Amino acid sequence: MNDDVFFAGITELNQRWRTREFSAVELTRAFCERLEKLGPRYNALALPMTAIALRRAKDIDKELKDGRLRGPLQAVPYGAKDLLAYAGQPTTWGAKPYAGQVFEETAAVLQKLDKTGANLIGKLSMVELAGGGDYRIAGASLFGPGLNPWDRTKWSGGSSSGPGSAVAAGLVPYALGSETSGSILGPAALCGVTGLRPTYGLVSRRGAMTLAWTMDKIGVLARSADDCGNVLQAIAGGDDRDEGSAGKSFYYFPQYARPLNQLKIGFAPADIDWAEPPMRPALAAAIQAIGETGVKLTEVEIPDFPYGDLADIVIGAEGGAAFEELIASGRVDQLADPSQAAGLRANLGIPAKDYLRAMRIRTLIKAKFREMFSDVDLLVAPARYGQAPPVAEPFDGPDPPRDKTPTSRGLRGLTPAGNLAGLPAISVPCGMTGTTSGRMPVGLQILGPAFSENMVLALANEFQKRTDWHKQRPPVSS
Amino acid sequence: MKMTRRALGEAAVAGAAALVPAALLAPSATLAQTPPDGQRDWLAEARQSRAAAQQAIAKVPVAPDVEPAFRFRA
Repeated sequence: MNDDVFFAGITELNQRWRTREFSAVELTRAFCERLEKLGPRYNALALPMTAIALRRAKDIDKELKDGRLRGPLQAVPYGAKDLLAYAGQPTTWGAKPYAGQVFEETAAVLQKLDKTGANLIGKLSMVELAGGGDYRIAGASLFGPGLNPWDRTKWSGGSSSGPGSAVAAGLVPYALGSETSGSILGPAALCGVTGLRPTYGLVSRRGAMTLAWTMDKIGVLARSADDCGNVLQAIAGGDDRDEGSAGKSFYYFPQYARPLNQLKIGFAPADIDWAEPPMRPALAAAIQAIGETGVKLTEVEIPDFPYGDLADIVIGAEGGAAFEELIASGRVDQLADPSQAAGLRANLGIPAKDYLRAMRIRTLIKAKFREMFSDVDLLVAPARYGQAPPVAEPFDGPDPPRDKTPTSRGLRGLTPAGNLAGLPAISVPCGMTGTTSGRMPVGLQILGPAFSENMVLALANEFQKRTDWHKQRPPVSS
Repeated sequence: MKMTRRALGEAAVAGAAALVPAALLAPSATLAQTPPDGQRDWLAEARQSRAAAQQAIAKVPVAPDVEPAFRFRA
């Protein structure tokens, strides 16, 4: 099968299957072989599911023969972060203490995708326990450090490391990931793919590992915003067995979102100066391209809260409670990163008063963002302010010296802020650092009010119609 | 009810270990190069970092009638 197939979007793959250019079995076999062969190159593969996927592909081909068409995801292979349970198969949560863990029930999102005819071909690697104890090395995973397809000496981001690498390298057309604070947007930005974090409560987390009940979200990493929209429609929806469920559905109709020329978009020029110097030209050009879509750009500044500290307290307190048995048993010391084990232990010592204070400050943050969204419709900011770090170096080294002192906060802190407020955001590839050698992707974040996914996706779609950064391929040779 | 690790029986854990391909459990070459950092007191550092976060959020004024966000549904 031609390499172009591995980098095609969901709609195209489905169309080519429907017109019988290839069968579901042929498509599935091609992706499975590629995932099994190249997945370990990036430490992206947690569990191949080839035999199950090929059996499923035969059924899907029969559906076409019987004229039973189910929509754009039918016959299209995908991968899932290994924090989502699949009945009867190992679900490791990326952590050695859970290496042989098996659940009896498949996660709700995987069940929903199954009903659309989508075909799960493998579980993908992740940072152990989604990084709930504060990891400080890329190697904080049962599967080794996530390696970036653009440069394997660089990190793929976390905690959805496998989904980021696998989508970027054309090993799966899309993958499900999760975000508690940055785990979709980060890998999407570093690997040069599109990553959508939905509104808190829009997608059921039943069957997913719990890190922080009030912050965990399941989302999508894919080749384009359009692909993310199609997948979100399939996985969204209320669930009485998820206490955080908003009980809402999502229908992907970006064409009925408000016209872009009626939208006011908040941005902060200081964000360019906060970013590392090699990223600045790409980010500046991306803001300009957003302006050329017809929206009105207006300068804003993020409300002043200690977002990173707040996220640390909330995730720490909830994650400590969620993993209390692991910590008490001492098996926490089997984690690859000793800093994580220590972090989880320390999380158990966070006082209730501080957790509650953090949760009460979240109420203030939500109110401030509601106020901000009465003036602007969406915000755009760098998805990350730093480039992919080398995998061999710890993350807690000294910060590089700054060449500029930004004059305002800008929108720095938008990722933890958006997660604390439960708001939807997307990261779209918006450029590359450097010119020839050492080129690495840069991501732009678009964030909106709760349940504004169609508006977020509409702007992202228009940006991707005007640019081709999402079509860039890393140097993958099979 | 959310599915958690508590739903898992130990027998299932032992029986399933063989399903994980051994090659996937081997540490990668890059991980093996990571320095051991054996001299650091990780727990003391973790406690210090949380204490700093607690101090930072203590500086944010919150009126007594502000309730915690994300209460569970009835």
